[in-house]
Amino acid sequence: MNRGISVNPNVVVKPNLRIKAFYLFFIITSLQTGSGIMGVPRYIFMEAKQDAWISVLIAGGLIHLVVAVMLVILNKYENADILGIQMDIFGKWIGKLLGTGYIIYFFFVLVSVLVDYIQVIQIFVFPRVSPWLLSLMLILLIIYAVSGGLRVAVGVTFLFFFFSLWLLIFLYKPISLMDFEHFQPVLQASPAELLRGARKTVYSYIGLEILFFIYPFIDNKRKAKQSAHLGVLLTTFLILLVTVICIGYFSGRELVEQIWPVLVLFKIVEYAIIGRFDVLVVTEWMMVILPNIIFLTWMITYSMKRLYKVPQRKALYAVGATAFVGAGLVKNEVVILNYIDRVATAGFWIAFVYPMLLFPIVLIKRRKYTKQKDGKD
Amino acid sequence: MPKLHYASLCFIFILLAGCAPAYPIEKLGVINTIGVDINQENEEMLDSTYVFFQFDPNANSPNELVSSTAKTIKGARERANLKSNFRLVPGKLRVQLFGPSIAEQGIFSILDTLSRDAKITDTMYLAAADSSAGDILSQVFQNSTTNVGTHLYQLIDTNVEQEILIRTTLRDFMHKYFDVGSDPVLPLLSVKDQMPSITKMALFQDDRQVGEISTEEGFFIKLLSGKYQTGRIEVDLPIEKFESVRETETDNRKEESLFLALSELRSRNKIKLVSKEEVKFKSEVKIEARLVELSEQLTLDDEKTLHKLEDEIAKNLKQQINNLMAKFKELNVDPIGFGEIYNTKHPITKKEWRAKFPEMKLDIDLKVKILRHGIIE
Repeated sequence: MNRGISVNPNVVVKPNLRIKAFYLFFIITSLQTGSGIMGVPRYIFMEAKQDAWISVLIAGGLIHLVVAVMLVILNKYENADILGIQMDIFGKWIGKLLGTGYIIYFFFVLVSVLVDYIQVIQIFVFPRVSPWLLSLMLILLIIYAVSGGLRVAVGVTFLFFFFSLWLLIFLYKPISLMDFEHFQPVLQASPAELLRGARKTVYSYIGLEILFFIYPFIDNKRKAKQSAHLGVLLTTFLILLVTVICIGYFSGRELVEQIWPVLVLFKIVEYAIIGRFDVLVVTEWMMVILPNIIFLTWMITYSMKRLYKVPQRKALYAVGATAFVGAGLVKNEVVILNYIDRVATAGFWIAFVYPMLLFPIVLIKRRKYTKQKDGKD
Repeated sequence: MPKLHYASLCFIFILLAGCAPAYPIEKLGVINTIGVDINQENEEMLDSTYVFFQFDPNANSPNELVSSTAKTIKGARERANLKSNFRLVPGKLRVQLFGPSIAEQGIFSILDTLSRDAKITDTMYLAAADSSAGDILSQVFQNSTTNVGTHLYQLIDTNVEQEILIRTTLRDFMHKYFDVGSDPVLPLLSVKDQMPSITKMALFQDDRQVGEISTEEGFFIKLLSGKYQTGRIEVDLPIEKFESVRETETDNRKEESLFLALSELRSRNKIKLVSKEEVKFKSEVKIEARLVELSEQLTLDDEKTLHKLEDEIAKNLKQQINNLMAKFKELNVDPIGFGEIYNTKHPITKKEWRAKFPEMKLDIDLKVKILRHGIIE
């Protein structure tokens, strides 16, 4: 079927390396709610004001569409990932080039997450700790987890999902202090502002690309659809929740001034034994961040292996070392915010627009393909 | 990965943990309360007074007081450090006190530095002082028999808990300050018989103190802007209206008015904008309370008498609210937040609201219900 050359887009995964579709839910949610969600209400609010929650809903709807498109693309092949699909469609060289684009993009996202979290630790907990030290600690954890393979990464994600979920309980305090007058008047934002707000939501949806990479590893693919959509639904709910709380809890001008409004929400929580709950939240946030950076690194090293046959362990050490230098070097807040903003823009195009562009091409190219073993998997 | 690898990773982690700076508690001076005034000789300089807690077991008193003068709040802390053998840390700051000199000029710049600092908790209380904040702190320091550091905090906190005072934490102040059409209030501390007490509430226009009301009048701010769970209030009514039900046989007091105390007061309140052109609001207030004290002996088993009493109380409270509103209009401060309600229907700027506020009209519909009157009929 492929014109001529020997590129086989499909991946053969040994049964003992496969994962259940059930885990896809945790992987997608955990990857999407990383460092982005700490600050996202502010950015949406800056565009759509008190109607920011509508923007979140619009973005959520669009992301479901993207997931559906991604699944259609993937189902046009037997057991392929995006790297194989690109080589199948665009030929070996352009395919490899695009794959390299993914690697570079993931690397930048990885550094952006590291830098963002390190900055938060410095501001909230340890102002005098060197960023080099913090990035070294995080990267050692990444190396430890990724060298265990995909199943370890999935296990970490699954566990940390529950370890960090309890933080939600403590939002009751800011909820009780919400001012519902802040939501009125409703629908003041123009459609353009709402869409711009939706676009700003994107940085916290980054992570969805994992679907393109992990799909061949899924054992029972029929359930993948449900799992992926549920994961995105939960992410949308979480973003909606923090956005609504932030709008109610902060006054408009106050919210615009906060860099991490979601962390500041926890500053009002106070107990006799834990006077400063926000410090606990910031440290606990590592459990939200870790699945992110582990999977990003896994995707980078895995792609390097697929495209260039670099042994995954060597790739891992190289990526770790580069990310260490990258995360240690950036210190200036303006530079960091600017950098994250660019990564978010790139994420918008790569993670959400690109699958949409790929969609018609794949449909035309693979129109003859029907899945043979439909009944089986 | 071989076992040696893991062991070395663990080892590195243990070593790395030592790189974070340690904060031995014996060397810390944990700041509890700060008082800020403008220096009398040089208007550019700020006088700061710190009450801090120290953990040295050999010291006579667990508290210390230092004061310093500098151009910025942070600078003052550095200078205070020079006078103290402890390292002053603000993580457990509970009360920030403002002297009249600075409160009348505006305190936003100070609050902005505070809320910018992640180390400072949002739950600390702000308070105004009727004489220099430094004087008040040193008086408390010299005379308080209990723990000085927490004296002021507990003074405010217990009264807030009992709903005698409005909550005035840093977060509450900033929230009101940033909201369009609402102004903050703070408790006003004064020294009586060498001990601090809260006698009045300071009214703020934006961040400047422009007037004061009694704490009794402060009751109505919360009555109209929030709801009471267990409030209390004293009312005095003209006695002649109750001549008929007075038990004159056993009662021979000669006062002109009837004093009564309501407690366990629950209130609900709804404010609506009735007319945009006239800036007219309508407020529906429902109060349910227990009658716990009466200065005269009245026969209360009759339903009519009780109703009459309820009506008279309502009339009296209404009168007090109207007097208070007149005061607010004269000073052009809006602590109840009518502007916020106006803003939800017709978006408005702070400046526009200031121009409109003195013309606003309020129509009060106030209902009092006495639920019980003690264990004696």
